[in-house]
Amino acid sequence: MVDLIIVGGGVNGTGIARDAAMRGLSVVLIEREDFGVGASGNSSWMVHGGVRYLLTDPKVTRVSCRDSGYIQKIAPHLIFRIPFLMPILPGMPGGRLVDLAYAYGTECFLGVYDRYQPLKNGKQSTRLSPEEVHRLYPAVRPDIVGAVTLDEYGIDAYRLCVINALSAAEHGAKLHTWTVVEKVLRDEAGHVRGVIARDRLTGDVLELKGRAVFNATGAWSPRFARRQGARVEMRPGKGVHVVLDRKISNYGVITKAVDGRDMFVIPLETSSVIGTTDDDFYGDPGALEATHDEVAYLIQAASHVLPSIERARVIRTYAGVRPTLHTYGIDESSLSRDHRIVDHASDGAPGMLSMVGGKLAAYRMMSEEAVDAVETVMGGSPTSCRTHVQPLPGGTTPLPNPIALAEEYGTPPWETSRLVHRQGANARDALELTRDEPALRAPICRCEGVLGAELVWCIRFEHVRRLVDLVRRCRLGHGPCGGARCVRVAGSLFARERGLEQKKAEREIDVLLQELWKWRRPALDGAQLAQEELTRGLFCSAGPTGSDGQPGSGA
Amino acid sequence: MSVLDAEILVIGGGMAGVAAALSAVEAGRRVALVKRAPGATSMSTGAFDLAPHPRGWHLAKPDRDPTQLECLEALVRASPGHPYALIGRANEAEYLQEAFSFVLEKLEAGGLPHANFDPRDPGHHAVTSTGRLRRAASSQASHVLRDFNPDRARIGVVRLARCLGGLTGPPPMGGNVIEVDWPSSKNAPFLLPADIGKLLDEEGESRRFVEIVVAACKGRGFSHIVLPPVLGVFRTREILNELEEATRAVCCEALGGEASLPGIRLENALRRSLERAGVTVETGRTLDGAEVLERRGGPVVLASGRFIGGGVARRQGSMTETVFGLPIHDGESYLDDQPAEMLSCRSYRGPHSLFRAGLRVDDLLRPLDMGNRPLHETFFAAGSVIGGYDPHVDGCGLGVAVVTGYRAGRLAAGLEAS
Ligand SMILES: Cc1cc2nc3c(=O)[nH]c(=O)nc-3n(C[C@H](O)[C@H](O)[C@H](O)COP(=O)(O)OP(=O)(O)OC[C@H]3O[C@@H](n4cnc5c(N)ncnc54)[C@H](O)[C@@H]3O)c2cc1C
Ligand SMILES: Cc1cc2nc3c(=O)[nH]c(=O)nc-3n(C[C@H](O)[C@H](O)[C@H](O)COP(=O)(O)OP(=O)(O)OC[C@H]3O[C@@H](n4cnc5c(N)ncnc54)[C@H](O)[C@@H]3O)c2cc1C
Repeated sequence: MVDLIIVGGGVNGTGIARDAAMRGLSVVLIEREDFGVGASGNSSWMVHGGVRYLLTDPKVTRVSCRDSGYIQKIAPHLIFRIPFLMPILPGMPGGRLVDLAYAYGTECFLGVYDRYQPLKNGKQSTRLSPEEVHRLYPAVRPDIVGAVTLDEYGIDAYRLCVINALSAAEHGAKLHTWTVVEKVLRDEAGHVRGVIARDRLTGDVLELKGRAVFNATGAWSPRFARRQGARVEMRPGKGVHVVLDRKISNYGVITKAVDGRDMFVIPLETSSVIGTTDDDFYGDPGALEATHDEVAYLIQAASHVLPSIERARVIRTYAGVRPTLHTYGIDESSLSRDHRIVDHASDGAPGMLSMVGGKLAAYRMMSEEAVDAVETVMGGSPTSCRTHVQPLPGGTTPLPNPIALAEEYGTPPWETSRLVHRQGANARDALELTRDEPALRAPICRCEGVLGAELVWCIRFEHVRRLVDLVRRCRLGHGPCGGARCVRVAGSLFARERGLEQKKAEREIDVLLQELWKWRRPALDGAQLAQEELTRGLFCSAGPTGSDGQPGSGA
Repeated sequence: MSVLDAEILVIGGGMAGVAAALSAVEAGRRVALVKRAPGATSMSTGAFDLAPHPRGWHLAKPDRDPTQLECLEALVRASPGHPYALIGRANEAEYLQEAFSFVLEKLEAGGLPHANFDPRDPGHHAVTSTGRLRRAASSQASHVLRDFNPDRARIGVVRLARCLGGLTGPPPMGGNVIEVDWPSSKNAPFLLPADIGKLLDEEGESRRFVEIVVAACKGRGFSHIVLPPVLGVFRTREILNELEEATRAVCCEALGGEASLPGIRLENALRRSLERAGVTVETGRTLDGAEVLERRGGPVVLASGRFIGGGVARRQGSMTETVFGLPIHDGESYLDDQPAEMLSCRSYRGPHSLFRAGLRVDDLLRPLDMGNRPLHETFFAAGSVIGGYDPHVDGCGLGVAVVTGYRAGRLAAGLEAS
């Protein structure tokens, strides 16, 4: 019998697991696939205050600004700063004067926002002239009227989930990935007393007893609750991002789509990300894919301010479902981003709680509230939370200097700096693996800068159960080559580490290829089609999956 | 004189275009070839594949591998829209032999010897860039795993410490990995196979390389030693000879992977064989179909490739053949402006009509219009610009280029027409 069973390994589930385990509760975390596969990993990765929410919901902004300040302290390695420009476009009805007025209005709007900036170490926003904008950002269309700056932070959201889970495990939590909760158990009094879960890789059925069950299944939570006869009200919104093969600039840009929705283009590592759409979505969040139309919509909107985007190559897409709080009747993107913790005692499932709404940026604080509620439900009173002061794994400062590490271990510097970004203080331990096996100094994925040592480190110490989990641990296969270079090598390292026979190893490679294909399929156009042909050429000619023989024969 | 006025004009300089140009010259014609840039041919592995092993072959006949002809026949049965199926003669062993021998001899004369092709043979063994064993209809001589007997072979696979993406998987047939620390400085940069090839084309560097490899293999009793595909563009044979002499093992290169050095060698040999045949070549030019139609009455061979070559493209959702704007077909139907989701399926494996997209041709390789009529009497297509097959999943990319290229050149020269 454990204290708390958490269902869902997104940022909230893993955040709650960490907090509860640090407070001394015994915890089991169950995730149907892998950490971050839901909304968390597929979000925009911004731990921002969310300018877009300012007008409708200042409370969200305040809360998430304060909390993203904490995130910067506990996971400094995963954070990256993105200065944004908000260009002011001509062509508002009435000509230039109106343009300027609109500019002024925008600035006021950001002025409000500025009050929160000190909370998360951002710079004050400034008004830029068209000349200044073009000096900073030559790709912006020539006829803009000016721009306003604002400071934001991004975070590797996959890794944020992973290190929360790993920290929970360090404090005694038990992690089950690729395990799906199929049933919630009740005692005679109707009190929730545990779950039945099935390990999707081994087929084992687990019966787990717990004093409370937390439903942290994000967009899946209404279904999950419904099966227990309880209710979670939500207005799920599908959001799609498009990734370009190149960095258009070092700055982010906020702009508007044809229908007036706010949109952005951000630099991310060596690529640019355009986001996002926002449409009601009531399908199965597990079967989510971007569509060709959504890609076209985002590209059109972004190239309105950054015309050179038309020439860039869309290398992939990704999609997630926002678990937004239910408020009917308004336009999707102005829906409230606030969150709520539901105690299902009131609707017939005592011992079960759910989390609805919220944002990645506020996960820590929401997790804190969630664990307070759990302790209350279990008949106690909230004990003290330390998740805002205790660094996450790898987050201990000072972070190692990548250039010095590269010199010391004979690894290429750029890849080593990516390692430090993802692994923080653990980078040195990962590089130590190269002492026994110098071959691990080689970069395996050159698009995302992944060393052999990083892959092996993740496989050994980061709760990787399947090859495809490495996509979330170290961005394997995210780059422009679509995994053409890295998938086979990573597959053989994984097979070696796990002692897999050939057939099973090929199966793991297939699952990974399938995942990457899902991202690319809606974007097969222009130069990307030539890339796809190259990727297929490399895979097929390197020998079929399945039997030895001739190219293609196993396909 | 403009290339447009040549007796026969070939558009595209990949394997298909070159095969067409050479066979037309052989028939006594004056040929000009226009080539924008290296295409898929220059990225290929060094192997020529005719057709994949038939599905389920090894369950039905575990005792032997199928012959190349058996592979081709199975492919034709399974996909009636395949170019091999359209050209009746492609099914004849004699014709296959003729086409391949012609092309492989020209490549040898251009400085790049290849393994003999025999359609009644299962092909030879080679090792892929990921360390797997496979068959090929032919390949560059340096790739052939000679005298290979799976029961007795003791394979050693060389892995270079600073080589990116060279021979990465576990060695085939339970072989051993031979770690070779070259270049040996700890902070030397990691190099692509093609970059290493450049180094090894220098005699001094390749000497040192051979010494280090020999030292690492000595006395380990290997019957076969497989090296990554890095052994230079020009000195390949010399390096292999030196290695074989010193180790007494059969030494060969794995097939190319990314940044394929064998692909570069092939490209180089194509250029030289065009030179030797006296074909007028214009590179770096993108030919425009309208210009061609306006200026020319004589035969044209369109060998502009697929997506990599640039002969077929999808631009903002609409599929076209890029030089003449011809309609695109997947072997079953014309593909109009459908969203990418409709042209592919959820499973990575496919089948995806997008990757079978190309021109629809008749048995004389003439592109057809929507009414099933040839667009022009002497307008032929060759290679991957023809649709109805997937060069990769169907494992027949260079096979189709050789057979259709050879035939298109002869047709353009007025031979073979029934
Ligand atoms: C397109 C988009 C962009 C966004 N951008 C931002 C942003 O920039 N900044 C920000 O702060 N917020 C952003 N958000 C919001 C933020 O991503 C979410 O609020 C947050 O990630 C929710 O986390 P979660 O853990 O509740 O849900 P999820 O991350 O979805 O996790 C739920 C998990 O539960 C698992 N699960 C489901 N059913 C079961 C079951 N039966 N058994 C076991 N496991 C199960 C799922 O596999 C999943 O991993 C964005 C959201 C979207 C969709
Ligand atoms: C990575 C990879 C590995 C492969 N491995 C193998 C293998 O092991 N075995 C095998 O059999 N096949 C393999 N293939 C497939 C094989 O390489 C191709 O199917 C074959 O080379 C296609 O030849 P092609 O001449 O039709 O096209 P290409 O080689 O692409 O040539 C097309 C030519 O047309 C030119 N062109 C296009 N438009 C114009 C224009 N408007 N004006 C002038 N010129 C133009 C291009 O510049 C190019 O020179 C592989 C392919 C890839 C990508």
